[in-house]
This record gives sequence, structure tokens and C-alpha cells, in this order.
Amino acid sequence: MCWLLGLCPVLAVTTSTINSIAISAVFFIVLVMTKLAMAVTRKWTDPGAGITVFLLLIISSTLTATADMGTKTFFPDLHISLGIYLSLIAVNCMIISRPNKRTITDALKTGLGYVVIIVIIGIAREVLGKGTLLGDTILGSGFRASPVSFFILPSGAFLVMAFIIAFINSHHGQRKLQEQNRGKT
Amino acid sequence: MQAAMKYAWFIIIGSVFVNNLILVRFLGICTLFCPGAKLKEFLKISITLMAVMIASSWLGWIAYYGILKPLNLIFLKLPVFVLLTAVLVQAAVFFFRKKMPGLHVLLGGYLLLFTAHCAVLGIILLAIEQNLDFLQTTAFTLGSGLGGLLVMLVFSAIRESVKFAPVPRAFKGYAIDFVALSLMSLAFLGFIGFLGIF
Repeated sequence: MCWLLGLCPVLAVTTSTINSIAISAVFFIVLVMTKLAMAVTRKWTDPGAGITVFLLLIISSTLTATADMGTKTFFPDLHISLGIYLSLIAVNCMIISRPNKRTITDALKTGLGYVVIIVIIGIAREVLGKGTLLGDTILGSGFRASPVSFFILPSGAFLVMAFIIAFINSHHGQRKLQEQNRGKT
Repeated sequence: MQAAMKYAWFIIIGSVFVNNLILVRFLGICTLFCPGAKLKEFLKISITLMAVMIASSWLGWIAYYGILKPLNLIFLKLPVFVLLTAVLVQAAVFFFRKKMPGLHVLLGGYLLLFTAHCAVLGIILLAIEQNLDFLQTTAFTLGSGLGGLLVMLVFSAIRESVKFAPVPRAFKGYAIDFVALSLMSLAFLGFIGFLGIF
């Protein structure tokens, strides 16, 4: 079963592979460090209290602001192409929701899944929409000259996402069918 | 004054149709996939979202141009905006629970959804990035909220009718919703250049 959490960066900045690698790296670091800080403070805060939400928001927004400044200093081009979506990691649903789950293994698992999906979408959109992979021509110069620029548009992002969800669904559906058959025999 | 009002109208129309909140800027997509939400719920959600967006963008604008910029503390803008919105929403929920129980029952649950929401934060950041003044920020936020309302209503109608369509098994559920969003986004692409707005 797939959950749809934190979709803004997945769809918005995955127009090229390098962008998606950059945003997923920042996202992964912020996610793991926020979960680490929340795990450390678990003794003093209980998950139902409103103060936990504020603590979570302070930690994640400070970390994201730091990452934003770091990107601006060391990779100014990337900072321009990621735009506001880098700052929006601070309120990403993946980090903000589920404050009860405060283990590092959970953060690593969900974070890695998220990174893999983002990079797959980035590769698919760059290869189909620009005919390049990390800047190199990959499907021939004829395709590069007239690529399917639909995939660079916002609607292309939605379509790629639809196919990825359909792939996951069909995989799970087959497994469920196999389990049912096993139950019958 | 008249020129400023005319410009504000252009900003509203541009942010409803051309630079739509959900279909072009991808802000607040998570809200579309609230489990079991129908037309009525979407109406409540989007009106709450609009109210929170307007209030927090006013607060954010005042905080940025009144405090952060004169004191040269621009690097603090992200934590300040996030915390302002969270405090505003929590205070509103608290106030409604004490003073207006009817409104609390109607909107309280949805209000908590926007404690930390990408659309609310994204609108303030975009308004700051584009150097909009106070009137333009209001127009921009109002237009974005109306754009979100429009897309949510159309999306819920599409979802209702997809229920009766023969959808392939793998595409059932979220996947067909994304195909619908893709086609809607393609349709909204036709508005580019509408009234000379890009």
C-alpha cells in the first residue's frame, strides 16, 4: 500500500535528474536529523501534546533554513532551479505528520523509499522530456532535437506519477492474488 | 490608485487560471487526497485554506517588512513564517473551541490540517520572492485560494464520475486520480497568455 505524503517536491522540481538528486539528498538529511532530534527528546515530550508539534516545526524549519543557506553558498545554480521548493521541505507532510514514529530505522526506511521514487521520476522526465540523462544525449540527437516536451510540463509530472502508482498497485495486486491462490489450495 | 486596483485584478485572474495553485505550482496536492472527501468536504477545506492563507500571508508580510528586513534578519524568515502560521492556527482553534463551538465543529478538524501546510508557507515565500506590496500580496493570496477552490471542486466532481467508469485494475484508486489531474493540468495550460498574463 502506498501513502501519498509530501508530494510538492516530488512533482515540482523533478524536471531533471540532478535537481531530483539534490532535493532528495536535502530531504533525506533533514528527515533523518529531525527524527534523531525527536527521538532524543522523546523522554520530555509526549506525542499528544501541542508543544510537540511546535518543537518538531522549530527543528525542521531551522534545519531546512540551514540547508537552504548551504545550497545558496555552495551550489547557487541548484538553489535557483529548486526555488521555494527547497524551503518547503520544512513543512513536508512526511516530516511533520506521524510524530509518534520516532525511530531512526523508520526514518531511514521511509526516506530511502522517497529518494528512490524521486530519482526515478526525475530520470523518466529528463530522458523523455529533454532526451538527456545528467546532461548527456542518450536517445540519439534526433530525439534530442524534438523531445516529448509534454513530460517537462506539470501535466507530465502527474502522468509519470500515475504510472508509478499503477506499477506499485499491480505488483501488490499480483502478490495478493498469489496469496489468495495459496489459501485456496 | 486605479492602476493599482487594475493590477491587483490581473494578479487575481492570473493566479486563478494561469499559475494555478495546485495544477502548476503543485502546492497543497496532499489536501486533494484526503480519504473519503466529497464535494461538501472539499468546499469546507478550501474555504478554510483560503482564510488561513490570507491571515498568515498578512502576518508574514508584516513580520518580513516590519521586523526581519529592517533588522537584517532575512535568514530567519523560514522559521518565523512556519511558527507564525502554526501559532495562528492553534490560537484560532483554541478561540473557536471556547467562543464559537458551532464553527469549531464545522471547521476545527480541517483547520488543524493547516498548522504546517505547504500551500500556506509556499504562498508567503512566493509573495516575498516576487516583491509584492500589501495589496498585491492580498490579491495574490485570494487568487491562489480561489484557484485551489476551483480545482478541488472540479476534481471532486471528476472523482465522483470515475467511480462508475471501467478503470483498469492497476489504475484504480490514486493512479486514475493522477491521470485526471494530468489532463486537468493540460487543459489549464490553454489559459497561458489569457489577457496577456504569463
